[in-house]
Amino acid sequence: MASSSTNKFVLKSNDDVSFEVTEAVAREFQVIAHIIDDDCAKKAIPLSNVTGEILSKMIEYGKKHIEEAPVDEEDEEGKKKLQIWDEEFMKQFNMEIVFQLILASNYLNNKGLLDLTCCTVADHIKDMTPDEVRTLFNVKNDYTTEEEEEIRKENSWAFE
Amino acid sequence: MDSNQREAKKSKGVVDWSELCIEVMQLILESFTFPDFHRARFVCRNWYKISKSCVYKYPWLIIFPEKYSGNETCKLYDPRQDKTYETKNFGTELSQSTCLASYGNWLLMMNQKLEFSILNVLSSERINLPRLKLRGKVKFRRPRNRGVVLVQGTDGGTEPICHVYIKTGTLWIDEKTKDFVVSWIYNDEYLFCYKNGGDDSWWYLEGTKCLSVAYDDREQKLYVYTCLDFIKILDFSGEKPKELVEENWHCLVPQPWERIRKRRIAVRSSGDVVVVLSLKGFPANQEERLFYVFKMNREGRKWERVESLGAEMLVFGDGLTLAASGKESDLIYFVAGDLWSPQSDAVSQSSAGVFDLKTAESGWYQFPYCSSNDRWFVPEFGKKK
Repeated sequence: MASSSTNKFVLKSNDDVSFEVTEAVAREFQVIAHIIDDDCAKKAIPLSNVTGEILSKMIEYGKKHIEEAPVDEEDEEGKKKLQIWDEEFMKQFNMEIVFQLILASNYLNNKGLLDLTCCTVADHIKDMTPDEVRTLFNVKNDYTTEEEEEIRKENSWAFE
Repeated sequence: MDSNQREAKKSKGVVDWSELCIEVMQLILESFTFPDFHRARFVCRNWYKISKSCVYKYPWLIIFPEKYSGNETCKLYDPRQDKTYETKNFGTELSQSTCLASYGNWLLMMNQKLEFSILNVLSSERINLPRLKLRGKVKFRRPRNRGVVLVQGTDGGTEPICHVYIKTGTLWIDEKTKDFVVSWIYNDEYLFCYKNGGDDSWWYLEGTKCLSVAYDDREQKLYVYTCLDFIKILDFSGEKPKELVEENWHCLVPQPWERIRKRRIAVRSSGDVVVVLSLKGFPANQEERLFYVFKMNREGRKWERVESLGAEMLVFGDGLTLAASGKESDLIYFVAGDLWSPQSDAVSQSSAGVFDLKTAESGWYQFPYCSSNDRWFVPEFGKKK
């Protein structure tokens, strides 16, 4: 049996784009790791919820985290380097892509990328008013004025 | 951010965020800073509901006013934002009081006249506890004109209670019904407690020379770490606290190299009891750890050292571990006084720190003004009054 460093798998997006990846990279995504463990990964692994564009970004992230993984818990420099890479990596995306990445990393179960994308959203909406957040997230305000006042009171100690 | 950036940010959302499952929305909200989290609750009813289900809990530092400063407000420091808020003026003798325990937004406070109260630090609500009065062989006495409280022991001898020897206790309160249980230790010698709902008497718990207490409200049990390294368990479900003799746990024997500064007991969310030790320094050939955590192995009746609290965190001395979001798990929050007289300048100027049980690393928060009374508490935001 081939060792995991040479073992390759093909991931196929919902718009029929195929990516060949090493087993280590494939295992960065828990759902795929399970498919491999269950020995169901003979042929290409179809991922019905992910587009080629998003999948290629996720593989780029997975590869980097395999190749540049910190040597151990003590490897502060390695951790820092990867963290800087993560930040740069996220800068290239608009919120629509970030949103797709959140959906996909949740679906494929990659905790690192899910945390990273959620933090990106948090950074993005920092200091926005509720109205600005509503516009960005396409949500309607369904509160009455009285209800809004009630919520305002809840943390009035900090904001008045 | 400048106005262009602001415009760019506002640019219309083209995706439907309501597609996100609740777990992911929780993750997003949990990574917000406190002001953003607060604002997120205004967005819509659904977000409000999700915010209620979030684990948005992490310790803040409460910095009490200096003694006799005349200032009766506290500073609340949020470590995530590195920002300090000021509370309302409590208009009482806060600056001359000591905080013995906390539970959510509530603090157990004691003034120099040995009057106890519980105080909600966010809403300013206050509940005064009855004056010290005991039934049974041990009694409190307040001789006229002397302003002191004496405790009369079983042998008839009396000794004055000095407030500086009251340093630790427990507090539990039900936010809705305002039922509560408090306890405190006097000079590692006497354990006193009070539960509302009965008469106005406090209880003295006999034979409980102890170092640390922790209250488990689900089981209504008080766990007592005795001076002889026993764990005693007291049942508070009845009218009167009752010792569960058969459940007393033997016996945590410290290893010779474990030079212990403080011993504290805590109850996990699972109901497991853990003992947390802060160490006096690092002996040769031992790893540099500030804290050890031991868990009772129930089958073997043995204490085992653990290097994880699961997905939980702990404020040293608080008696309860709390569910934590990913980043906070396995962290132990402490104040400088929990450790042995710190040597280095950087450390001695700091009032508080955090120790990661997994990696054995610690970080410090430094403040220009700090007092020995400062402590961590875990606020619960947005609870209705």
